[in-house]
Amino acid sequence: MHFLAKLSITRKLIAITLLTTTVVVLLMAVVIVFSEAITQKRSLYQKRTEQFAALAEIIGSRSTAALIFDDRATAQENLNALRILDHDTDLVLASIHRPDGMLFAEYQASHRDSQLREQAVAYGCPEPDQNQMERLLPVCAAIMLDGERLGDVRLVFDMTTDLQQLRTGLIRYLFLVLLFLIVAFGLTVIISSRLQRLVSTPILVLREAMKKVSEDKDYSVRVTLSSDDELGALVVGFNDMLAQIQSRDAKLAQYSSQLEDEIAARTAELAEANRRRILWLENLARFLRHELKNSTIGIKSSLDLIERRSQQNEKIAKYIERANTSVSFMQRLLESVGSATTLETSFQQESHIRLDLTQLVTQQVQNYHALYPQAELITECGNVIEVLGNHTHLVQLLDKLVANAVDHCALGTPIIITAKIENDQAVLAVANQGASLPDDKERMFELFVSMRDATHRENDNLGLGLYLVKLIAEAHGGGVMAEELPVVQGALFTCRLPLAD
Amino acid sequence: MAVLNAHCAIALLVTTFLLPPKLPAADDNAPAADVYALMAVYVQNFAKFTTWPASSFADPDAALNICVLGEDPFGIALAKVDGSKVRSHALRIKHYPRVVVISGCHIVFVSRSEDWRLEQILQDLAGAPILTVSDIPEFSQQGGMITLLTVDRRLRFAINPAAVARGGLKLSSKLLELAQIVGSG
Repeated sequence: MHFLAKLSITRKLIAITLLTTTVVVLLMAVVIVFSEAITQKRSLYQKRTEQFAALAEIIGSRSTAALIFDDRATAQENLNALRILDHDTDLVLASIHRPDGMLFAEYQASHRDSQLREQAVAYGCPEPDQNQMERLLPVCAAIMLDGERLGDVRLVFDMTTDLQQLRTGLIRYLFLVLLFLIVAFGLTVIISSRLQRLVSTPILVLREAMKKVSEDKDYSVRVTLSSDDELGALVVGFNDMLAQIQSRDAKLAQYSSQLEDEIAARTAELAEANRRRILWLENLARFLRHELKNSTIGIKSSLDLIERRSQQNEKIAKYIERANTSVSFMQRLLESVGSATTLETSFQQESHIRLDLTQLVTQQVQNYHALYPQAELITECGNVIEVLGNHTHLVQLLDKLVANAVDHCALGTPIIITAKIENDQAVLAVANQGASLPDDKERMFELFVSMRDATHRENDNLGLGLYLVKLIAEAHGGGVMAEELPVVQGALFTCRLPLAD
Repeated sequence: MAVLNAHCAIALLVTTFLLPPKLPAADDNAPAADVYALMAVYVQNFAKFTTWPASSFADPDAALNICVLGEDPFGIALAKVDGSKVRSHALRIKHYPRVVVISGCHIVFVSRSEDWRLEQILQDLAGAPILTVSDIPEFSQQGGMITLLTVDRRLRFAINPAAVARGGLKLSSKLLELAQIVGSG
């Protein structure tokens, strides 16, 4: 059955039908031919026995007087009359015997071979209904007169010719059966190749549909085929399955689009809320700055007045000076916040131009020498580095970085300012030796965060400088990062900006 | 030796009974007694192949009479036949010295002793449904029906079908087949 497994279903069905037909027809042919052979042989022997028994009876009847009057010559003549049958029948031997078995007269067909004749002589009379169906057929008839048995006639025939004819007939029959087998085979091929479609077509259609579904992911495919058998049920089941997948797909798509809409709506809501909060904060800041500015002016003028009226009272002068310091800090704070706000709003208004970072650094460092005479500034600049940016803002960025470095610089150590191109980016770096960076480096760049020791608090660091650096770098499409110096203790601030073109 | 003797005895017995009976050397005038014994059987067997007219028998089971005319040459051989049956008829043996007293006979065996007046006898029996048998030479040629004769030391017979027909009898063709057919001279 292994070879069947490899065939297609169409060929499999035809092969099954053909195999079954062949086996059945062959079996039938064998059974029919065998039973026919046995039946024909039996009826042949029966027919011959009857025919020859009649002949024996005639001879016996004619030989009654010869037996009674002991006339062997006449009996012999009677038997010799059989000579005319020699070539029509296959008589081998004819003989007449006395009741005691003694031979009375005998005729031997001359044309038979002697061996066969000798064999025939040895034959006795068979019992009735005892058909041996051998090559030699002995037939006997009793010779009776007045109820007295005078003797027997014994005829022995050779059945070879008859059996040959029988065999020829059977072979012809076998050929007919084989012919029928071939015709049946052909018909089976034709019929089964048509009928097998009843089974194979639905399966092939299903297979095509499955192929289409798996290749195109098209779940709208339906198999249109109606039959009431198991294959019909299979088709219905297949269609149901596809329908379920399709409806599930539709639901999934619906859910996902709903989800997207919801996310978009929620995002818009959040953005709007954020915008309102920022607006509110901005308004609050503007209001507070304005009111506080007015208040500080009032406090300042009042303090001046008190100072003039106190007539150099030393005790009062001490308190007034402390109050003045606080008011000045407040004014500076207001100024810084104001400049940060202005900077943020100016990002949207100021346009970017092509400028040379190297040149910018070189010019500014000259100014820094005047501004920070105690600091040792070293510049490391290469060729022209062109970036798109706002000159004022970039100068502001460098100012803040250098100011930060000067603030944290250990006494007598240099501050190194570098401008270079690295990985197709413009890099502006400021390094100083001194205190190491805090663990949480990213927080340094947030608004109003100062990681400075409390001892430096009296200096004017409001946690604004690095925040502004970050704002400007990001406004130019870049970024800023801080890291420890590799060898000595200190900090390195690196600002990366995209190159022009 | 005793065994050998027994074998010899059986062989002798077989030879005596199974071999076809050979007639002893016959003298023309008088066959031997054992030939007459065989003739007695022949006469009985003739009855089996002869059909008499229905009128010959009073009833179907009536006796079939065999009459010996003249001196009986059979001795006890024919007497043995007496009482045996041919078809439905029992055989009866009768002896008559002369034709005139014959009655109820179906077969008449004419003894050689009657040779001298055979012509008269045949005349007397002519036309009667009686099967006439004799071992007198030329019996059938003179108008008798069956003549028993010896050929090659075998007992044979001659039949005169015309005489049989005149007597209104019928002989089986099987019998005629074995016989020499002769006509009245």
